[in-house]
Amino acid sequence: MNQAQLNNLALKILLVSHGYLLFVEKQSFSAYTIGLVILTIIFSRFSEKLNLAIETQVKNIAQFLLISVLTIIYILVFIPFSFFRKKHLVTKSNFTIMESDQIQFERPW
Amino acid sequence: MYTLGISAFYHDSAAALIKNGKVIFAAQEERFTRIKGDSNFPTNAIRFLLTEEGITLNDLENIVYYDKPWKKFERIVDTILLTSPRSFKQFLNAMPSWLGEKLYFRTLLKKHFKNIDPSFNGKRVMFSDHHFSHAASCFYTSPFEESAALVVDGVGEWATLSIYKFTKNSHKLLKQMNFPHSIGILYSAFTFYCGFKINSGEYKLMGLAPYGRDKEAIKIQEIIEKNLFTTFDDGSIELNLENFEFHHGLKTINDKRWKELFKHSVRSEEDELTQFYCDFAKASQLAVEKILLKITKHVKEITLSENLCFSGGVALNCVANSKIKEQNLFRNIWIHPAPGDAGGAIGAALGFYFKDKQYKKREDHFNAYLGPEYSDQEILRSIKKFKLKHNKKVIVESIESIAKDLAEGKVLGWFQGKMEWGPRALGNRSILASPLEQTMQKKLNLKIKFREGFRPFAPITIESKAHKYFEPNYSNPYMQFTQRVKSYKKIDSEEFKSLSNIESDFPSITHLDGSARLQTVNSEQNPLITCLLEKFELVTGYPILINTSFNVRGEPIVCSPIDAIRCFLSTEMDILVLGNFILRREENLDAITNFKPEVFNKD
Repeated sequence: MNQAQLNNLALKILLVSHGYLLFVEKQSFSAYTIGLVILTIIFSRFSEKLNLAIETQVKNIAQFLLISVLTIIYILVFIPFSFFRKKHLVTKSNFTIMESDQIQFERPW
Repeated sequence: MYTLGISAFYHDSAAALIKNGKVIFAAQEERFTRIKGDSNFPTNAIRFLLTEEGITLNDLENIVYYDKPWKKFERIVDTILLTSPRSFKQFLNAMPSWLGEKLYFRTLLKKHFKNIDPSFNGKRVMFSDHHFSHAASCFYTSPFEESAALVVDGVGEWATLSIYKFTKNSHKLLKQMNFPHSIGILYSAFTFYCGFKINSGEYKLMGLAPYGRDKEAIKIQEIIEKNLFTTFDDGSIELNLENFEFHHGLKTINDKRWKELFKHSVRSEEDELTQFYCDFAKASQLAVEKILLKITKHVKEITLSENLCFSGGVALNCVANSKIKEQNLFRNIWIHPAPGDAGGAIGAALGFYFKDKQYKKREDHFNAYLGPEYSDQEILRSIKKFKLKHNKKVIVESIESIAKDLAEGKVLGWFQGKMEWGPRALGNRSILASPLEQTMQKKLNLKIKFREGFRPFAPITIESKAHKYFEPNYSNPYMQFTQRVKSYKKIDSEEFKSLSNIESDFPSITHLDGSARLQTVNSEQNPLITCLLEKFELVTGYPILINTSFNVRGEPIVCSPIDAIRCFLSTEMDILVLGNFILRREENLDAITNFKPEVFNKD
């Protein structure tokens, strides 16, 4: 039995025992307990869906914020800077002469 | 002294373990995860290497990643700047993953290593250069002590083509062509236009080319060369970027422009493969070959070397490789069995190891059998899991009867020893069949591999006997070149070209242009399959078999006995030889009927 099933079982036991107290022993306070148990059962059934819905909404909001921030960066930084970038002109060859004989293994750049 | 090389996060993730400058194990992640071209961190591959050698991550002297991620980031930012504001979509697409994880590369790698071994002590990871990793994977596994090295691929960090000169003590990067001007991307654009997937469909385009008509292909080639790029005398190219979108958008080509140029729209995967796309495939192959021949001529001029090491994804184009070889500019050409990104794992580790050591050339063939091997007990456990009927006999004693089965036209799954390194099955994870039957090509394509009917199959033969059936004569142990079938005769036909338009002693392995992507093998490289070829010759008179990778369309080549059994059960394969165990289709019909085959994404 997993935790959810155990909780469910406990709620059912509560429901049966307080049902007995209410209807047989006429203990009126058990009506509040029964109401609470029923609410808990209903809520537990929908809590997973609710969690998922909240998570999705938060994710969407976060994604929207990220896209907004990136868009602002693009408009304020990338577009203005692009005017200063000059296109590489190719005439006789598109090879760049390198003449390098070292690899800097320590660096990721 | 152990060095671990890794390639990951783009495509074909892999890991390689080097011991004192020698590759002892290497494998691609896709073989373990069963996801073709898997780009995730090669957790399973690394676990395999460490377990086989009986070491932990803390026993490694060095860990080397195959490229420089920050340089790559710089290229992306620079390209976005240059193509702004058209690059907005690409910017939004690329930035989250870079800003989220990829920029903190050491932390990211450490997290993955901790996942493999929680006691990992956080060794500092080294970073090679993408094209240097390719070049090093080739030179440091070659039989040369001095060589020119040419790397051609889609793109590394910035470079799309690099020319190096290697000696046993040093290396020098001489020239480089930079993004966005790329021969690899150009070929991928052709692949996309013909309706195949980029990074996996390039070899289909190559296989389709011989179906093209000469005159029409030349006309298309003229349009390609006039409109898509400019070639300079030294072979470098400049793409006409108005016709492409890969540098600023999420698509590779400008569909509208290509439609205007070629009068046909981009083919989608489901569309019929019409004669136009065959002509286009031929034209694109010819255009790329022409560029490569110019470049290799320039490589010869500036390096004056007798040897060439060729690597990068473009080096998988065995038709172009053969043209380079036939040019006779270089006395020797060496192409590593995995010239693509997976090979970068070996190159990163070897390049780092030899940075301050002298390389002594190999006298033997590079051993491409570097993957997992399974014992009889492990194989038997897998057979029992599927409750299959089987016979066990020492494989050498069964070889004669297996050869007879093959001669009768049966199709065989052949699973022996260590898995091959690289994209090609080299006789340890292979589907074998007789090349003598006309219908075998169709049968294998449609009933075993479930792939397009036009695709050719490759032959395997004994090195010392290859000259009798194929020309020119040279050893080709990793299928990196195509050779001509001597008995090939073309039947001229005005109709749509098909494999029935040819005459050959080996119709199932002869492509429409008379070529075959041959693998030569000798008893030193692979004694078992050499023995099988000898027995097949005794029965049929020919030491040649069809050798195709042991998988179905969209599936990575099988790695474990379980993968092999699944493939056997889901196809119409007649026999499965798993080490010393033989499983026959007719004895396992119930299991085959009840088996639910795995579904792979079509490549």
